[in-house]
Formats: sequence, structure tokens, C-alpha cells
Amino acid sequence: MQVDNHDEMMDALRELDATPEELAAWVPIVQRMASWSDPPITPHDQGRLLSLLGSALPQRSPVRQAVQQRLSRRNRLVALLATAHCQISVLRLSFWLLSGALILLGVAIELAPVQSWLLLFWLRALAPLLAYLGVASMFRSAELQTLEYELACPPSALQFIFARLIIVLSYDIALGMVFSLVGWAVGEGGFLVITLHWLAPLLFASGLALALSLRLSALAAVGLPYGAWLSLLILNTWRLENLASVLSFQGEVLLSLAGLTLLVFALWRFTRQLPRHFLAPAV
Amino acid sequence: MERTSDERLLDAVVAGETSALTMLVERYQQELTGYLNRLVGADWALAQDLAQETFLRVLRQPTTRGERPFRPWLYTIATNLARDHFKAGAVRFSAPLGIEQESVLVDEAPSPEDYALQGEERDAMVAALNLLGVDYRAALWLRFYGGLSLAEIAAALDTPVGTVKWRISTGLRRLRCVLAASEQGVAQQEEDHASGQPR
Repeated sequence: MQVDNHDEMMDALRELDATPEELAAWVPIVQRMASWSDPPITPHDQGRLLSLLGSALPQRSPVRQAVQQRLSRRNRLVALLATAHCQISVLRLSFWLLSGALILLGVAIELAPVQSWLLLFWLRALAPLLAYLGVASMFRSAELQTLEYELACPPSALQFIFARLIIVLSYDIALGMVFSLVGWAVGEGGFLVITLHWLAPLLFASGLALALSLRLSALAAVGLPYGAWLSLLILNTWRLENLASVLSFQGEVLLSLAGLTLLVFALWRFTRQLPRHFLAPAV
Repeated sequence: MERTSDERLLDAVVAGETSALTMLVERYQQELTGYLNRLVGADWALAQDLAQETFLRVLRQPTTRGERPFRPWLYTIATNLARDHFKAGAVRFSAPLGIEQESVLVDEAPSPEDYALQGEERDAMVAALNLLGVDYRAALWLRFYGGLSLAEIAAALDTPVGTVKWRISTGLRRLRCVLAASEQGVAQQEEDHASGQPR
């Protein structure tokens, strides 16, 4: 705070590019300045200021205060999960039915006597479709015109984004695990290998969709990556290239990492774009 | 326990959190009033009024901070308010202050003689500072009282770093001249008094 330590004072004076004579002459002046003290602020002064400022403080509704008190009693993870739980209501029945149908389709293909390249095609096509559905359904608030309402709620905007990501990713990954379990049970390959077949495009599509949603509408942001991914898959299948050689095990790992990086990037950009007071919970 | 940042406290204040407001006031009321007291020429009551107005501005216009850290922004508001005060009343301080005024020099237990001497020293310093423009005083006090870096002062006063350095250097040079002249005058007076010659 106050520059009254001799070394700090000398450093502060040296910054001024002064001559040694000037430095020597200025030291007593700065010392005299530093010796100036003030009366202490009394509790009465502080109370008076606080009571005056209290009337200018933004008012919160009793409902909001009650919600905040309730949230503040829980730890942050529990509060985040509770927020995520509340957010599930955003998803419509069509989402649950469609995602269930996709899983059933995937399992049916795994159980059917199809060639391995076709199975790989379906795994890689269906998993990002789950991400497409999830992201498009959860991050469509702007179109529903509920964004303003959500930003006015006690949890911060960042908590909303995290909560929705938790729902989308955990639900998609849980469903994808069905592919892995069934494929592994019927002897289509190792559990990890099958998991990577669907997880890599799912993570990449989710990450890219979120990153694009910074600039595009939610629907376009999820549609573009999935459309491009599907076109690439169909093109390769049509040219009868070996799909496994198009994206090796290492390639899939890299794709997963790229997806995670995009997710982190998108979250970071969200925090930079949103007004500061939307980022911290009001509790 | 980790200290909550000023910026986070401000966010909570904007959200209507009373306890965050109390913490901000506890952190900055003394420091800010001290700065304003120096800036307005040792008028503690006026400094308190300006500090109060500064906090009110913080509450009413939190978005004007933008991406700036809280503390330099607080000093920006305070300095602008002091500047407005001088402009409004075309106030120019020149009269030395009396001992009964509240600001005193640091001393643990000064004797009446010490107190009088320190009062005189303070008066001379205040008078010398009052001869400087408010921008010079602000730069000097922000550096040597607020402890802000040159870059922070530049941001707070909305002026280039080079100008801040120049204002501090020029301020110190002028203070030195004025104080030296004042001390010479006092010495001459004492000499005249001792030799029994009226000036």
C-alpha cells in the first residue's frame, strides 16, 4: 500500500529516471509525504456509510434470497448436480424417444451378422448423432427466448453451461457404453477399441458444436459438424476404403483429445464473452 | 483462508449481497478517505463525503469498470470526483491549515512542542501541495500513498505512463522548490527575530 519502506521508496523514485542528485533531494520529500497520517475511520463512520450504501444496494426478491440460502447450504458439486437435475426438464419427450431409438438401432446392428466395416460405420455415424441431439436440445435457450430468464436465476450462466454439458455428455456416454458392452459381448473387439470408435466422434462433434455455437445458432452449430462428419463417412464408404485405416486407434485418440480441447476452448470463450457478474453464482 | 478478490466482491455487491458490501467498505474506506484527504488538502470531512460519493458511484455504475481491476477503478472515480469538486467551486487551496484540524503527522506520543512543529511541517507540506494542480497531486499520492504502479496510475488517470512519470517528477521538483523557499523564509524570520530587527 503506502510507499514508506526505504527500498520501495527508492525503487519508486528510480522509476522516474531521475538523476542521483534529484533522487537524494526527493527522498526527504517523499518521507514527509509518507509521515502524513489520518484519523482512523470509526465504527460510527463505517456504520453511517454502510447504512447509506445499503439503501442504494440492488434489491433481491425474497424468493431469490430463499433459493440462494438453500443453495449456499450445499457444497458446490451438489449444487451443480442439482442445477443439472433441474435442467433435465428442458429436454422434451421426443429427445428421450429418439435417443433411445438410436441406441436400439446401434445394438441391433451390432447383433446382426454384418461386416465389421459396416458396424464401424454405424458406430461412427450414430454416436455423434447422439451428441447432435443432446447439444441441439440442451443449448437451444436463445431460440426458446428463455436465455434472459435463465441468466436472472441464482445459478450463474457458467453453472448452467456446465450443468447442461454434464447432462449431454454423461447421458450420451452412458448410452454409448451400451454399444461397447454389446459389441464386446458379441466379440466384435476389445471394449476400449469399440468405445473409442463411438466416443472419439462423439466428443469431437460435441466440442466442435459448442465452439461453433459461439458464432452460429445452436442448430447450425451442431448441424454443421455432424453433417460434415457424416459426409466424410459416406464418402469413404462409397469409395470402399477401409474405414479402420482412415482413422486408426491413434487417430481416434487424437480426435477425442481434439474434442476435449474444443470443449475447454468453448467454455473459456463463454466465460470471456459473458458479462462478469453472470459468471459467479449470486450466493 | 483465501482472500476473496475485490472483483468477486463487487460482483456479489451488484447481485445485492450486503456482506460483500461490508467487506469492500472495510477494505477501502480508510485508504480511500486518506487518499481523498490528501488530494483535497487535509479536509477530513470533505474527504469522507467524497469517499461516500465514490462508493455510491461504485454501486450505481458498476459496468463502467469494464475489464479494469477494482482498485485502480475505485481511484479513478475518487479522483474524478475530487476534480469535479475543484471545478464546481473553483476551489484553490492556499491557506495553511490550523493545528486543530484532524490530520496529524505520525508520532507515537508527541509533546506539545513536537506537535506544534509537526503541525507546522504538515501545514508547509499541504500548502506546497496545494500549489500543484490536482493532476500532479493525484499522480503523487496514487504512487506514494496508494502504492499504485505507474501503469495502474496511467489507467486510473486515463493518461499515458510517460505523462504520469512526468507529473510525478515535476510535482516532486516543484515541492522541493516550494519547501526549500518556505524553510529559507522561516530561517530568515528566526534570524531577524534573534537580532531584534523587524522584517
